[in-house]
Amino acid sequence: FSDLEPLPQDDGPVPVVRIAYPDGFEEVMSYFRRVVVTGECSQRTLQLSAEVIAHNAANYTAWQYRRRCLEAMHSGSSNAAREQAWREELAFCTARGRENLKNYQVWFHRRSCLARLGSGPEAELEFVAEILRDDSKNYHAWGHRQWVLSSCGGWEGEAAFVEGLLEEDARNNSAWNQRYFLLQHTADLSSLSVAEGEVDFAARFIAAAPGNPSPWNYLRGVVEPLGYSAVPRVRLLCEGLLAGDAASGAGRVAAMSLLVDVLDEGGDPAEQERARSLCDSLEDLDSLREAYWQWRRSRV
Amino acid sequence: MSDADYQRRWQPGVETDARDGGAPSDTTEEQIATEEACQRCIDEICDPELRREAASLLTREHRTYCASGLWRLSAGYASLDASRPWLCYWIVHSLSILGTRIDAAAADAVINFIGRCRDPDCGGFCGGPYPGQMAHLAPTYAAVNTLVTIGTPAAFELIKGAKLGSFLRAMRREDGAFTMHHDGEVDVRGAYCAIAVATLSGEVEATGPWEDTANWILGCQTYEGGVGATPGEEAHGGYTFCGLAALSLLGAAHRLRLPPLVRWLVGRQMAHAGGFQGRTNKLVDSCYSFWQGGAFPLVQSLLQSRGELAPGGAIYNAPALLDYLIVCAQVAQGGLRDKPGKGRDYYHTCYALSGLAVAASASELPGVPEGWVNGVRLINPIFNVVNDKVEAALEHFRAAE
Repeated sequence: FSDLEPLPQDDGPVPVVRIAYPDGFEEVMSYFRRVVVTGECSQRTLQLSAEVIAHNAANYTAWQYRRRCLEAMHSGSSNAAREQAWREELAFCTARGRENLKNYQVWFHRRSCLARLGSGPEAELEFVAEILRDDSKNYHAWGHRQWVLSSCGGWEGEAAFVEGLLEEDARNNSAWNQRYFLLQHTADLSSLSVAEGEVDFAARFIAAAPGNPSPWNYLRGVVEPLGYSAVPRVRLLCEGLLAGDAASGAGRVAAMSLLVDVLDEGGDPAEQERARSLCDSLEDLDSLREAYWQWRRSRV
Repeated sequence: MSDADYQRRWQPGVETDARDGGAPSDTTEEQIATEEACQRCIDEICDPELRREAASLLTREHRTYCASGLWRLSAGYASLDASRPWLCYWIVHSLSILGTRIDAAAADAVINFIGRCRDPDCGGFCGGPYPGQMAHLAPTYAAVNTLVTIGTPAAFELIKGAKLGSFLRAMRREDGAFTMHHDGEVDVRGAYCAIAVATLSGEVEATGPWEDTANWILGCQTYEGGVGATPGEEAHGGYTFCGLAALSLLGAAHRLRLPPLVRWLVGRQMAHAGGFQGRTNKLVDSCYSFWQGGAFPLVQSLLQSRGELAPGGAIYNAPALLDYLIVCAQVAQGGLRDKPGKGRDYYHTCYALSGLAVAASASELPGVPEGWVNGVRLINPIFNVVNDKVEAALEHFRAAE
């Protein structure tokens, strides 16, 4: 880089939020700043952007510069050479990604590489699965997985994958969300038999831990659009839990809370009276949400 | 809330889902560990009688911490080198909530620095001084909010000269969603930053139509009732706030499915220590005091306008949120943290104080010591800037049209 004059950061006469940069940070950034100005796209500027990213993986400009470099460097290349370059880029992204799992840039860059490579979903779904094994609720990883499924396919193994995660941790709400996502894309959510099957699925997890909000939210999400009266087993589930003594505290609150909506739905005065009295009990049992239960009661 | 209620809620071993014993997992283990860490904090500060009065808002310490960060930050902040307007906003906004005016010299320095972050070609603001970084919607939002908080003629002049209209138009996708920067990711943050910035700078008309944007955001509401980053993704506090605030500005918040939204929001407040989690079955984190807490004034005003909630009525527990912020989230040396056991930082300081300002504005706060909320300034929850400064900016740019 001897032919390049570093361009130092100009914070102005009275700098604010001045960071005590670690060794090497400013030098690398000064060269990169010069490159951004000259617009040079070459192997060495690609390497420089990698050093910027090593110092700060959230530098979105450096990531975008890599895409710009690769596009420019391979505009006249053969398809095979271009594909090879993006494949190497994906490998770079994988290495940086493992160190920066909660970073918007690595995941977006990954998507950009994959879109150019146009390969099948298998390897990528396996990569995401591996990330989720360590960090099962990683928001970016799940969003990426949805993108892979939507754009490359691979739906057929998803139900088993999600179920496996739920068996490990029934409170993995991201996995519950993924099950809903899967259903939206591969099943008919307006079908009664689909809804009944999902209620049974959720009920199995509710039986094991009645206070776990995830299957309750899931069940509501599936049944609410159809109406609770269309799926009588929802009411039976709530009444059953409340009649027995298996559910304590949070589980009873969850069952009562859903029962309020079930009873309120049909507009029957006697049922609504019971819904109101459940709200009264919930004010005590779920005292943190006292104001909410008063409001909910007023809406019956 | 009576003292008795307050004590009951803070008894050790309060029955939460994680302690029920059903289906133990990583989630229950981490949840119990967090409840115990909060409990140690409560015991230490409020024992033996669990008195709220034993705790106070450490205004002076927070001011010192923020005033220091305005000038110098440790090497740990190098990962935020592409987010420096955010650092300005978090610090300047925190100080303004605490009623601390930054002096004229400091205000000039901030304006000068933010002026250097402007992208003269594309418009908008970058994550640091130009050249070297690209314009990005998030630092643009942070820059505009900082300038509005400072609120001087020079600050308004800078907003006016930032070519925001052309930058916003360039970030809009055909379907109405916004990309965060050229060749960048798309999610609800983009739509929120865009409409917030457009509103504050008087550019709404010039950057519309917004109908598609509203429809795109509505498609991000999930089966749980909250909003996810993009259609299909899990309901999340940060994106829920962005979606709701953006739709409020677009006059379309009533088109959300409100009962599930309200149910999801109130369900994210934690029974043990009163703070909010960001998603179902995740841990409490003070930043959601604003992302979830700040959604309530918006939802409540919507319900009030439809006659479904009495004027001044609330549907969440503001005193409990204050309990978490004052007792569990403050660091004795100043600044606020995610949760007990974590270190302070300017992001959490800003959003914990923003949540505190929202809770402080509740019409009734039974049992809350006056010192917890006295002197905390009223914020406009849609923009998360102190209210009078928002009014002044809207007025300024309306008059300038």
